[in-house]
Amino acid sequence: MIRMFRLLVVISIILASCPVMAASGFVAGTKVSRVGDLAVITVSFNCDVQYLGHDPGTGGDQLRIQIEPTSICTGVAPLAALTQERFRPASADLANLVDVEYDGESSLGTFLRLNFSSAVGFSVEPFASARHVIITVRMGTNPAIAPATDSRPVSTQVRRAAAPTPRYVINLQSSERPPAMADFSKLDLGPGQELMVSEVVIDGKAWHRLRVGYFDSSDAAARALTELRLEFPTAWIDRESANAELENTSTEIVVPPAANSTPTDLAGTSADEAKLAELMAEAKRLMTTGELSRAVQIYTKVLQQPENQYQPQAQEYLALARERNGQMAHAKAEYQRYLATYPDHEGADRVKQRLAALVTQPGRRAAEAAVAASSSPGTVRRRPETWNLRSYISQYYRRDANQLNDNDQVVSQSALYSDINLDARRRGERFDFSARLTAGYRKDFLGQPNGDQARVSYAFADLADSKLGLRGRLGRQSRNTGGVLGRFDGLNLSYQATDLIRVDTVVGKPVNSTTDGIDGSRSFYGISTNFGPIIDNLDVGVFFLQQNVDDLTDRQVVGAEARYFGDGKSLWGQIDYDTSFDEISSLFLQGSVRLPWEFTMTALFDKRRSPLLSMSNALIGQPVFEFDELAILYTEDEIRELALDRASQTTTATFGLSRPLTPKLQINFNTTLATIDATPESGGVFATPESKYTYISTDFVGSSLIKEGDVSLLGLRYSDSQNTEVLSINLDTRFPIGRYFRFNPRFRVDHRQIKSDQSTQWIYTPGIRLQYRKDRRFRIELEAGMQFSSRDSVILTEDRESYFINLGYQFLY
Amino acid sequence: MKLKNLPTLLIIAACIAGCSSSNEPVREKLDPLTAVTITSSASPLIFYRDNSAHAAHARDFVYVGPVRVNNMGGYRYFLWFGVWSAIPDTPPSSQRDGFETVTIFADGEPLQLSLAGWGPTSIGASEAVYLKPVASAADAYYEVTVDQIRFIAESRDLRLLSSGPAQSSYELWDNQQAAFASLREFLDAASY
Repeated sequence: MIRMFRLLVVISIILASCPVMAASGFVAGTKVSRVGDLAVITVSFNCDVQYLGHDPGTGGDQLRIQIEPTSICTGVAPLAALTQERFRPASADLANLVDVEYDGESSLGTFLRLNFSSAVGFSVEPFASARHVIITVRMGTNPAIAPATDSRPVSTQVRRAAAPTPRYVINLQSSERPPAMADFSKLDLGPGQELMVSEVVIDGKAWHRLRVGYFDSSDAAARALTELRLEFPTAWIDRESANAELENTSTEIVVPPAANSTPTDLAGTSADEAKLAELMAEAKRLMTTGELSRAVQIYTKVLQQPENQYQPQAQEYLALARERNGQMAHAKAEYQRYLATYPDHEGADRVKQRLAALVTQPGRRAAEAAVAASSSPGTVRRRPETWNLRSYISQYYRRDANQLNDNDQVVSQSALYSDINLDARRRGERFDFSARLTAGYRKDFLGQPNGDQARVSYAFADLADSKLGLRGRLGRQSRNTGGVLGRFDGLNLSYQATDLIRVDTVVGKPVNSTTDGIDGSRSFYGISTNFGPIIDNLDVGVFFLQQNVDDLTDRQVVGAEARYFGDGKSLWGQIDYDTSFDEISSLFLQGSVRLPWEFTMTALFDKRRSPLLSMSNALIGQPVFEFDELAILYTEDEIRELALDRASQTTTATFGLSRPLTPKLQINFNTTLATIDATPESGGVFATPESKYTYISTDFVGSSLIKEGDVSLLGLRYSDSQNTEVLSINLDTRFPIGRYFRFNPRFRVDHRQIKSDQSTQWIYTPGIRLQYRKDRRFRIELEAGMQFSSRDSVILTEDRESYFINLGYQFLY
Repeated sequence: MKLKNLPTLLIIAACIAGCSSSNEPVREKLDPLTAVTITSSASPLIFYRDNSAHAAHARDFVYVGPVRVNNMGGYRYFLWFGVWSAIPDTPPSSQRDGFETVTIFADGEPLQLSLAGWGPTSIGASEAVYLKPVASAADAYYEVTVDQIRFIAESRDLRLLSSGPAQSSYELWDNQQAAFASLREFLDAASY
């Protein structure tokens, strides 16, 4: 009887209401009315639709109705169904309604979503074909009773352009075999979510990803992830747009939610007890074999059952599995839950000790976890015995040509640069092995002597032991601290003694150029200790390094580095002191501070010997090439003096100011003073005079002035050196074109005064850069430019034209 | 110069600077114009590239810091890049070359980043998130997911590859415990 009464109310409201305004989209209008605790939402369409279903069945804070549009329309074309709309009816509050979404662009079907501000009960009247969907909403006790007849005007629909918004999915797990759906049929999905199996090919191998989606915001996905990670500890969030780029091929199969999904009660019968025992045995086996994620799932399942004898042990081992899996925060929480639930159980003391160990050594544990754990968003979770191979290649053709006055054009460079990088990795529970090769080849097409060159930048193998906190790297590598001057061939050992202290030892041979082989005469060894973070944002390091050339000390340095980032200020300093020369070899200081009125002040001070102090400098300008030959000509003290004479003192000081004028426009000012001290004449090498350089520049930088992602720079620059005085103006602008292209035209004008002959020179330099990026793996780039210059002096006029082109690609595999 | 106690003075100066200011590893502020809440880490990661072809031990640097933008409950994540050079006569315009698309290799896994924009307005803010290392440094923002940031934080080997003909590989500066600790704190603040 009550049901009939409600139906009559609904029909009368519909008949008495004002006519719905026809709109140009698919949804014609929405009307909301309420009587007591009962509200009725009527969504009207401009085309006939068929009702296919809705979920959840009886209530929630979101209702999703699947419909099938037909081509029977009034006032709009049937294609209007292929749109997205979102709107809020004027009387939405009567039904606790936030907004209504229509999605006709989903590949999974056409949906109407009603989002409520709180959980309500609802029912949808099924219909075969109609222009309306009627949803009856039941709310709780609500003192605000709406009038029986709604006299407010019909809702006005605000149509917004269907701007693409990112959607999010949660990747639950990945496997090489298709997942067994029976295992997940009882997964508790939120309203509007589906379980999907996505197939993707990575490195030629097919992987099956079990996923839940879609979420309209990362925040919504994050809330769901918290719950899902109880059962799927390695679950992670992916964006639908990023996901599309990452996948080679992907097909998604929607898994319909299982009906009557209620948890299976395992406890209570002897057969159920046997089942629990079987699960615990299986989990124990998985802990032994290292399949920790699966063990976590099983222990969690046992804990979800009604109270049983296995739960204390399951709780303890769940925490242990989390700990071994590197999930320290989860492990702590699970140990604490054990102590709160089973304070007098026989395992309580054991758990207290484990928890105490976790709490007192967070850094060490974090370091171990950082070595052991992984959650790659781009690949599946790594397992023991699995190699991960990555590579990229690039090739660029470069051509330079110039012409002086009316002479023939001269091609100064025509070469193909090929580079390859290979990364191999194999990660286990304790050991992590990696190897890297970065090499290149320059093919010269002009037939110049030594034009073809091979180069090896990196070629090393790396092994880390997460249990001991030890790591070693052998081969061609680079370091920038500890007294090591960049690239070297050798061995580097690191040991994380505590969470604050790390010790490194290094032994090897320096590499001056990537085209060089292994150095035959020089070798070094050193040790460094690093402390940090101190007071959260300070790193400090000290080192000692000894480098020998033949039997002599080439370098012997001690030094320090400190790096601090505070609130509105930063300071970074490095110093190398050579004890064999009793001289500071290099000193580097860089700092920034935020000032009032939105100014940022920066400063950089660099004082170094150039080249850096070493006995090998004595070879500069000498008629010999090997150090042992030099030792025949001079004594050790004389060689040391020659080496000091050849390393001039270079001092650079830069001061800068930066300030935003508007959120999109800023002004930067920089001034640099650089001095290269004179070197004396010695050992038959001529003296060099002192040189001074001054650079002053101002730049205006505008970002997103015309469209999002663009940037424009207008620069003015003045430089003064021993030989020239130059005034430059530079315009550089770059912006995206569509989704795949980026374009960067630029133009510079220089006015140069040459002091030696009082001549002046004008230089015009136009150029462009263009990038095409189809997907994340492949891109093509073009850079081209020209230069026109005209130099006038008393005795000559010189016109010069030159151009260059750089064209190539980069491919990630 | 023959000041043998300079290393000690350097460390003391850094400690004094540290003790005299706020040392929170994660910073949060409300943008005064757009009213979004910006969360960032205190210490960015530092990548470098030797540019010995230009000058002995001359280097280019890239600072990388995570950013979370909270716009009325909607969260977005970005990576900020501060690109600069220690070589004095580097044209500021050329610093941006190759940074329209960059790839971070985290334990060998390539994470390709697409540029969101060159200024704070591209992330919905009105003022810079991180302090510029030098006045001429170029700012760039790349949109990422929090899981990508987590992956970077958990990686032991990191390097950065810019694009273009002059593509450059930037290696991670040694010994950045403070930066990684700050990154983990950022993730804890952003975690769920």
